[in-house]
Order: sequence, then C-alpha cells, then structure tokens
Amino acid sequence: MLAHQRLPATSSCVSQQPLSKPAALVRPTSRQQSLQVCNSTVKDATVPMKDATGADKGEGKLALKVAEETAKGLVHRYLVMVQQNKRRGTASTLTRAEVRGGGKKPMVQKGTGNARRGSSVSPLFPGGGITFGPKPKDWSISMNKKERRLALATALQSAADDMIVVENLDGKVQDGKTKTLLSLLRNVGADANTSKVLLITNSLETSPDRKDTVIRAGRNVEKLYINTADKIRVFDLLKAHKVVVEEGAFAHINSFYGPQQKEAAAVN
Amino acid sequence: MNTLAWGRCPGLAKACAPLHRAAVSRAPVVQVNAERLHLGNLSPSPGSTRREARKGRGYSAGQGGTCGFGNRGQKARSGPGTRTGFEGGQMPLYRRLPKLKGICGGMGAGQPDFVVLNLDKLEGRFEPGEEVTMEKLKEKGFVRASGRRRNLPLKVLGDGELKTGLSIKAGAFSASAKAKIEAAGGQAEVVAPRRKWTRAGHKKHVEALKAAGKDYAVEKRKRRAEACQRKGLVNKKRSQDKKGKAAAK
Repeated sequence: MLAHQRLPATSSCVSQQPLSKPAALVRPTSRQQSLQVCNSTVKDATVPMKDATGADKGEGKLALKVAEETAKGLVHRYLVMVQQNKRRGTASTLTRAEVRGGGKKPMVQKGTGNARRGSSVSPLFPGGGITFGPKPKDWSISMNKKERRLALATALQSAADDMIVVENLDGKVQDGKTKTLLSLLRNVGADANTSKVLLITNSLETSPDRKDTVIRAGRNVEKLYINTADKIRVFDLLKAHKVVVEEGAFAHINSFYGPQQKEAAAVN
Repeated sequence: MNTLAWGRCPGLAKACAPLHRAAVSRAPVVQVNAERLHLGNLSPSPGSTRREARKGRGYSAGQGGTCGFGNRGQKARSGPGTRTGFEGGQMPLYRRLPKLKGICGGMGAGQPDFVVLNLDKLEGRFEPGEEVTMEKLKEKGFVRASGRRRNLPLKVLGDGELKTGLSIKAGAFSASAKAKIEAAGGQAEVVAPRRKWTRAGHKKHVEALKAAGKDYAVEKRKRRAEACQRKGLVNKKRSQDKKGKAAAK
C-alpha cells in the first residue's frame, strides 16, 4: 500500500474489517470526499522468544514509541542522514589557478594558424585545470536526538514481524566459531547463508565477552550484520530480512525506545 | 496485513455520518498498517522536498531565457551585482542612522563586567556554613561561563530568599544581597579580582620566587598539575605507570 494515495471515501470504507486490498475502498459516490491514506507502523507487537536450540520460550512484547503518519518520511530522513554523514568529502581537483605552470603564453596571438591560446593550464588543455570540479566539502547534516531515536524506534517496531528474540548468548558461542553461530541462528529461524540477518547482541558494556565470541564468530559472514544494543545501525536494520535480538538487548530496546524512555548513554 | 483504521477519527461509526451529511473540510486520514519499512520503500514526506528549478533550459520550463534575472544591466550579469546595503548611490540606511550606544554600536563599554548570580540560585544548593566561590559554582554547574564571560568575576545579586548562612566569596555584592546574606548568618566577602598580567609584574613575581629559593618554571608546572588534579583531568593509569616505571628503575 502506498502512502498518501488519495482515495474517494464511501460509506463502505468505514468498516473495521481487514481488507485484502485497499483498492476495494474505491467506490465513487456523488459526494466524493478524498481520503488520505497514511503509512503507519504496527503498534505493540508480540515477538516470539526462543532459546539457543530454537525451542519456544514464549513471547515478548515490543512496544516502542513510534512515529505514526510521518513514519516513512522520518525513517527516510534518518537513513539519508546516516549515509550522507559517512561521506568524507575529500574529493578535490585543481582549478586553473591551482595547476602548476601556465605563466607563458603557449603561442603568439597571431600568424600561427592555430587557435588563440593564453595559458597552458586552461580547462581546454589536456593537463589543464578542472572547471567546477569537486572541492573538499563537509557533507554532514544533523538531526535532533529525539528525532533520531524516534526514527530508529519506528524502524525497529516496523521490523517486529521479522523479529526473533533469542535467549542471552552467554556461553553459547564460547568457541568463537562461525559454524557454531550460524547453526544457532539457523535453529532459531534465521539462516544467514540464504537471507540477510541482523543480530543485535547485548551491549559490550553489559556483556564484554560478546566481542570475542559472537562478534568474532559472525564478522566474516557476508549476510550477517552484528550490532550491539546501544549502537543499532538503521541501515543494517532496514536491509535485514530477519532480525535476531538477544534477550538483554531486547529489554534494552524496550526500555530505551519505549514510551517512557529512560535516560541512558547511547550513541543512537 | 492491511488493516483499516481511522487515524484522526477514533469513533468509526460516528465518523461515517458527518462524512455524508455535511461537507468535511479536512480529508480524513486512513492509516494502513503497511508493509515493513525497508531500504526499498522509504521516501521523503510529501511536501518536504521540492524539485530544483532548472534554469535556462527552454522557455516552457518557466525559467528559460533570462533565468529570472530580467533584461540587461548590472544585476543581469554574472556575479552578485551590487554589495549588500547599497542603495544605488543614495546614502544607505545603515549609514543614515546614528550608531547605537553600548555593545549594539560596537563599543565594549556596554559589555558586562560581572557574571551575575541571584540568591535564589544559591538557596538549598549548599550546606549551611559552606564556602561558596566562583570555582565551586562552575564546578557544580550552577554557573556556566564561556567565551568572554569565562574570566569575569562573580557578582551576587539579591533576588529571592536565602535562609542558609553561607560564606560567599565574590567580586562584588549588591547592597540587598549583602544584607540578606548577613541576615541569614553568613558572610559576604569581596575577593580581589584576577590581577592583569603585565611584563613588569611578571618579572617582579619571578624575582620574588628566586629570592625565596624557588624556580618559576617548576612552580608553574606544579600549579598546572594541581589544577588538572582539581578538575579531574589526570589520567590515573598513566601517572601510575610512570610512577611504577620510576620505581622499577
């Protein structure tokens, strides 16, 4: 369903039945009233919880403070900010003023049969300066902290359908082996060989061992992105087909991005 | 997945009636629980972006021939045209009016000589009998002085009530502040302002130190180290390492 599609309203559209196709709403009447359809994210979803072998451990509730009508635009703006802020802006070319040489007139003004030339560093010359070329530039854009958090929370909440909570991985990938981690992920229902998987582990502050176990085991897997709970990357989140969240990280997400956002030190 | 819900009309049955009977000024918003947000389906909010005007790309584009610069003259040429504030040779506004007094006219005289603090900001923030100085206030974050204000002395003013007796050291006190502080059983002590650095004064200081058998450079280093310690800027691990190495040697 595309956001902001304008549809004529009829009495038939005022039913709470889930409709397979919103196009079913289109039934023009004599008094056409345009409807604005907005994109929104699902609120308060339940997420399956599993243990490391893939056995069911009940359900968790994901209830974050999310943007409603502006969800799509907000997350887009956040993503654009993140990606643009990655630009180093170091591309640089020399203009004709900066190219070395070029003081002498290449040829006399008249009588050679050639074109008139004033300088050998003119942009028209091979090896000459570049017209309107790139110069070092600061591309960074900013976004308010609360907006950034709201955007990430919205993206997380919208991914709830593809989210799996897994029990804390203490001692589960102790050998730091890729094979161990991948089979664990496969057991809980996220195959990182065939689909893109985001694994959100506990933050390194609470579980410092993750660096040598989980992250080490998974860092060389092409389709596996590993984030810690306090540094979730929106790009990885939007890219992943499945999001596997450690129990501790899940609790952190719910408290940090929940309706009563607690003050905590986080980069996002 | 697509569930129809009325965004701004919580009562669905109620909302339907006025939709037909009367003209509704605002289009009702329907929220659709849409597919998951991913890289491929994000877009800017409608109305938040605008297409760039493509100037000089044909008459039908609206900004074709002169690109909005009109016909001929200084402002039709490349470059910025006349400088800001220029009124065609007429005495411009910014020169026609007299300069303002004080900092608005570019004079330093109007700038504050003190960082001011009222008594109500001190109330309840210090123990009875505690000494209050500018350093302490800055450390605790009750006074934030940056830029030019960084080195200004403190002046205590008399707004609010002060119940606890504090011994306050500041560059100046207002009469009412002094009265209130003393009424509360505290002291208002005026401390000398920071002495201005002069070459002659500095020389005198260095000689005085020498006469007392001290080296200026050593004293200076000591003072800086103390300041760092006070502000908590010392890397404990590093200084320990150094000590450890020295002990090993």
